[in-house]
Amino acid sequence: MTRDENHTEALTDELLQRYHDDELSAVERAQVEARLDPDARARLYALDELGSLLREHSEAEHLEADRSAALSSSLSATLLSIERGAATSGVRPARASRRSSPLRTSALVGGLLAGIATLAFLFLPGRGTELAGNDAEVETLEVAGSVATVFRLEQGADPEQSTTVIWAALDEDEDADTDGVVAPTEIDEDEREAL
Amino acid sequence: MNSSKCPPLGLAALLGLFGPLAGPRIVRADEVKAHCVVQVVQALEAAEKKPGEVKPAEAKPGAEPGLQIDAKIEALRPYLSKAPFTAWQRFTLLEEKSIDLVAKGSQSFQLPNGKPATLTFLEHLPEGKGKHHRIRVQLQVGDAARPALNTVFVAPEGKVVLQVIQEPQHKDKGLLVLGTRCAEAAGH
Repeated sequence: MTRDENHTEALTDELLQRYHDDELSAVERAQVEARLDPDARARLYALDELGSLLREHSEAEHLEADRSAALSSSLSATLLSIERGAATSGVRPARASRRSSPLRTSALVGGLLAGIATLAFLFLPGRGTELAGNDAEVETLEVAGSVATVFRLEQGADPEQSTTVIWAALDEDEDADTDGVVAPTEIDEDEREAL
Repeated sequence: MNSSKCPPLGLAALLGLFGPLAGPRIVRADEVKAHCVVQVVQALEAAEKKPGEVKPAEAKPGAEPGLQIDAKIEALRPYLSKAPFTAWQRFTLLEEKSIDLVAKGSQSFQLPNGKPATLTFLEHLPEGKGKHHRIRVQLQVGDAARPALNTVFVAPEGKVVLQVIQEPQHKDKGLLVLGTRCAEAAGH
């Protein structure tokens, strides 16, 4: 690929991003659409997938924040009601009670542990990552000199009929290696000295 | 009760006689084998008729116009007719690798683009928690030191997972699409 083609490639990336984000004028959009080749379409699709993933992540974070706020509010309300109950029933201040009752200390520790367990159940990472249904699960993905995307393709409404796609787009240098040509930029200083 | 008077030797004999009927033989993890099929598909942008070319599947009523899918990979049509595959119009099965693997066993093969590929059967996972029997495999494309793709995935038995190798600088050669499916081999 020539330097000019590389420049065009980079410009297309930027344009694709702006096209995807709907930041282009009608004329610019038409120009981009006229230049959309399969490779560009694939990258556009990858941008779309990335956007969806980010949106899902953001929604999940909002949900967790709401849940945390609700839990905190509920905890405050419970503590308040305990304090009020103690005041109206003439129970001695909690501080004095705690000092005099090892049983209450155990109950408090137990309660704290139960609270931690509940919080861990609600918020520990991984709980939400378990796959529902029977999709393939990509556990590790390593690409050298490639850009990889993982996405799912549905087949109708039946989730059992979906499939997972692992898409690796090789860059030019990677391909040059397989053709037995070593790109000059890949020879580092140590190798030069050895030569 | 009569059963309490039954001598231990008699119980052992009964278990020996009817034990095999009670359930399947427990198979050790290292005895499990997997049978995998890797379909190597080439995807090209436009349909060009070449002499001696294998005729693609006839277009079905209601099928996508211009889309040509080899009859041998008709099962992949629902996926190949969706974006981002819609940018390619002609899908031809180049090879179909039938691979039998023992646990932790690997088999290497050559892809049409000249890159080596290695499939390794890592583990069979029994069904449970609403999931089918699954197979954990590793697929590596390219040199081990610098793989173009090296992935470990878990898939339900018989379910296809697609791996796509795209070389943008070789648009004329199109995409290389691998359809990999594995299942526990029968008769171990």
